[in-house]
Amino acid sequence: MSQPNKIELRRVSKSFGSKTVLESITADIKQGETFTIIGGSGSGKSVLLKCILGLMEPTSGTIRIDGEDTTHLSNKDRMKLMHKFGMLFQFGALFDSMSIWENVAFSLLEQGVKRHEAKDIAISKLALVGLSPDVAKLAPSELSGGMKKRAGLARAICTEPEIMFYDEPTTGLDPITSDVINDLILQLQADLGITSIVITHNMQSAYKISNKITMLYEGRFLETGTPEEIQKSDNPYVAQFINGSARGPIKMAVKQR
Amino acid sequence: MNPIAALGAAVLGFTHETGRISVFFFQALAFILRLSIPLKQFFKQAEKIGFNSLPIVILTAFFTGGVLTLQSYNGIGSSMLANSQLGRVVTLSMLRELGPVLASLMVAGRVGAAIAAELGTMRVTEQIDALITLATNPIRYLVVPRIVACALMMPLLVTLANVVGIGGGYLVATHIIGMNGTLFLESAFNGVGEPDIVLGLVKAFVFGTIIGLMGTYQGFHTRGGAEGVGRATTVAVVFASVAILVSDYFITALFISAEGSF
Ligand SMILES: Nc1ncnc2c1ncn2[C@@H]1O[C@H](COP(=O)(O)OP(=O)(O)O)[C@@H](O)[C@H]1O
Ligand SMILES: [Mg+2]
Repeated sequence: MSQPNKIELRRVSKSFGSKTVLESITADIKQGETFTIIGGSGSGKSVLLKCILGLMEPTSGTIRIDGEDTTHLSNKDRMKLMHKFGMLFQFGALFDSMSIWENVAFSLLEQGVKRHEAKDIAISKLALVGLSPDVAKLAPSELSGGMKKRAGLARAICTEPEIMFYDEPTTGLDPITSDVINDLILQLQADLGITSIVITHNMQSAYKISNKITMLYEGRFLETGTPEEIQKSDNPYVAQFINGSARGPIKMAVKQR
Repeated sequence: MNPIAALGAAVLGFTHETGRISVFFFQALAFILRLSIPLKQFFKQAEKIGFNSLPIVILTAFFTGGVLTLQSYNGIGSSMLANSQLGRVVTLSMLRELGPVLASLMVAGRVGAAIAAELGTMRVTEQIDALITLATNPIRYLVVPRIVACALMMPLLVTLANVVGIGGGYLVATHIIGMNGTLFLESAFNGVGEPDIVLGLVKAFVFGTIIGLMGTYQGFHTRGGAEGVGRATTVAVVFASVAILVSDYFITALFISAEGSF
């Protein structure tokens, strides 16, 4: 069974001034697939997600969603396209001025759903990410980093998107909660056929949830493969990264004095 | 860099920035003219901007009216003429100039800074990006209600400032200078007309728009974490204050030449 491409990247590049972050990235992400990007901090993983989402415009290259070129959309068309997407931000990006349940139900409230109905739905979404109903009325500032992230995830899945982007969903979570999130990502894929792009440093989680894993290094995808293929990779950069070793071809920019 | 190149760079930078602010303003204006205004957000902002600015505006206006009366009295001297003109001088100055300008400068410091800090924080913590991913246009949702609330609340605040300022002047005239209160009020109300009130309100409306625009623009384009938020806040207040004073001159000049042609 060959699924159609949900997301296509063609020679996507992004620079900030003279600094090139992404260099000619090409990839296909199939319908219903979970595609994981690994790579060092500052390698441009978040920038790539923002380009696909349209929060940033790539310097060159083409991005297609469901076969439609979305690289340069008008604001209005961009907003329409956003209904397909859900995004979990690295630090949650909850709205400070609203309670947790109002955050989760934001889209529903904007669409005019009655407050008590929206609140019930929000509480059920919070339960999916392992947050109790007591959390619903709290302000974002009253939550720990991990709880914020989970609330952010509840908000992202509230509108039942076709494509989910996860920016480090398990970073900063305890191992058990991490696995709750892993299971949730798997469940969304199995039940709703959601296509996902996941950024993670957590290799255990990457192996568990991914259909494909790729490593971003110096603006390019070094190697793309199934979890088994990546685990057995003989690319020295990939091997060093997945084993978390300080020794290898990847040198950290640590100043020698 | 030599001085001429530096001047050139400054002029280019200024022109560039003015252009970007204009584009930003027209993006918001497109929603406002279509009356596509998120009402709930608007009322929330109107309360924040209008109601919460009352204490500072009242305090400023009261003492401005008072000191204006004291200075004018000392300046003109205590002749009969002075007594018959004092109320008029104070009222005209308040309505046409000091009410709108001082109230707006105070509000720029309070509200303009708060708007820039709030939107700046939302920018650096990716809350604005999050809004977009929730299919919500941040210009419509965040910028429009704030600009409209500033533009509409400022005339109300200025009206209040005028009343309080004239009241302050009255108290100083009667209690400190020892003037007849009726005389003060008579000269205050006989000497002013509709155009004076209109001029003040037009100014308030324009200044309010400037405060909302500068606050949202700087906040919206904040970069660089907490430090960036601090910078955006300062720049918003400075730009708004300068723009208020410059536009004050041109509105006044335009109005006076228009008055002359009637
Ligand atoms: N808006 C921006 N302006 C300039 N540089 C940016 C911007 N966003 C990200 N960068 C730079 O791009 C690089 C990649 O950032 P990012 O994608 O956040 O890394 P990560 O892989 O850790 O998510 C970093 O060096 C960062 O400084
Ligand atoms: Mg990142």
